Amino acid sequence: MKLGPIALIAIIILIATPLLFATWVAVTFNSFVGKDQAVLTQWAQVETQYQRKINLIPEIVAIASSYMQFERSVLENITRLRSQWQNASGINQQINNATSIDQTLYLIKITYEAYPELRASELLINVMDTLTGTENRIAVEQSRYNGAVGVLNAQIRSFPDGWVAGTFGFQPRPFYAPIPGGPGNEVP
Amino acid sequence: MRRVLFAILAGLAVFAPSLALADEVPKVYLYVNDLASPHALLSNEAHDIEDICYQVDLDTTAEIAVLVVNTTGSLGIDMFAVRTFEVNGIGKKGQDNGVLIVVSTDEHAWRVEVGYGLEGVLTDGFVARVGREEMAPYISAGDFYTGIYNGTVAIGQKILDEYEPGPGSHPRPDLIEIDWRTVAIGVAIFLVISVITKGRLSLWVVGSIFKRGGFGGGRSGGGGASGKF
Repeated sequence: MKLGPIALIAIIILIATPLLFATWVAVTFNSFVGKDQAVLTQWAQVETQYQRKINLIPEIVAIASSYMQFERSVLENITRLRSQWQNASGINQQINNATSIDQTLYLIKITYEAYPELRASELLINVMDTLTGTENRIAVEQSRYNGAVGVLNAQIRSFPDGWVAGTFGFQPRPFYAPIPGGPGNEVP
Repeated sequence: MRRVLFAILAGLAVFAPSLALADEVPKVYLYVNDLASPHALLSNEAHDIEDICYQVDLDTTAEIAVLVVNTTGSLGIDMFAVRTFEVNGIGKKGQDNGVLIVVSTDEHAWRVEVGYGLEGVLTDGFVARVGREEMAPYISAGDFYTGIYNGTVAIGQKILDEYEPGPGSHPRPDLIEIDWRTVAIGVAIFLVISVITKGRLSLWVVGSIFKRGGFGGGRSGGGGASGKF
């Protein structure tokens, strides 16, 4: 039996279309895996930098408690919040706790800034500079995290890639709000 | 038809550079970049500071970049510094051993952004002290040269004293490097356009074949310090 050119083309199309479709699905799937992983990696960066800030708290408290300008209750509060953070279970509890920590640290920062005579202590200056630097690092990693989330979410919402995302259960990731009192987000 | 095509291509040629600027931070090509207007540094002053950066790069492969601008725009100096660092890749790739010193004249602000690889040597505390004590007092008095020079020396000296470059890092960036891929694409586009427009649209391609070879692709993550003057 001899096939005419039209039949031949039809057969080629019949074979090629599912192949091309499967390839497209695979490529899109992999691209989602990569972008989702980028979000998770970036989140780990945010956590690392946040942990760094938590680790600074004992040093801040130790140095600040020798100055009467810092209120005892604030210093006791931040110590308590730090141990709560370490015992926190689940990400929601940690986020709630993180907000309280940021607010309390902010109180310590404004106290430091309000009293120029505190600038006589090299130790205190150093730890406050480290705190400021760490908060800036957190802000940078957060903005990179949000960048990665934006890339992922845009693709999930786009057509036809969104269909692949829906089929394989890729969900948009939440954006992260900047820390209160952090760089670029000073509490008025 | 040809006119339409010509218009589209000419439009692309005009808009391509402004699209590249959409991220609001400058591309920097030299160790010392005085983009302020009027200039904050005389050319021999800039060369003095450049000599220090060159020496530090030669001895340790660490890259110090200095940038003076009028304003950091809506980003604010902290984010501006991170983005500029990112876009220009200051420091060697894999070593992340770059430092970016930014001075913004209108906002009276300075920032020293430290690459990941130098965070151990240039701690936030050290960098903040350099900015506050070596730089800000001179800059606030209008002496940009002394302030930036002192800051660069203090940071450079610390790197020379304490930084151990990792294996496989090479000193001295090439200031200009020809990007052969762009050349190939450029020649192809050039030929096509020449045929279509009978040679009318020509030279704009040439300007884009040079790219900066200099800074080596280092990264930073917000380490360092900033302040006002």
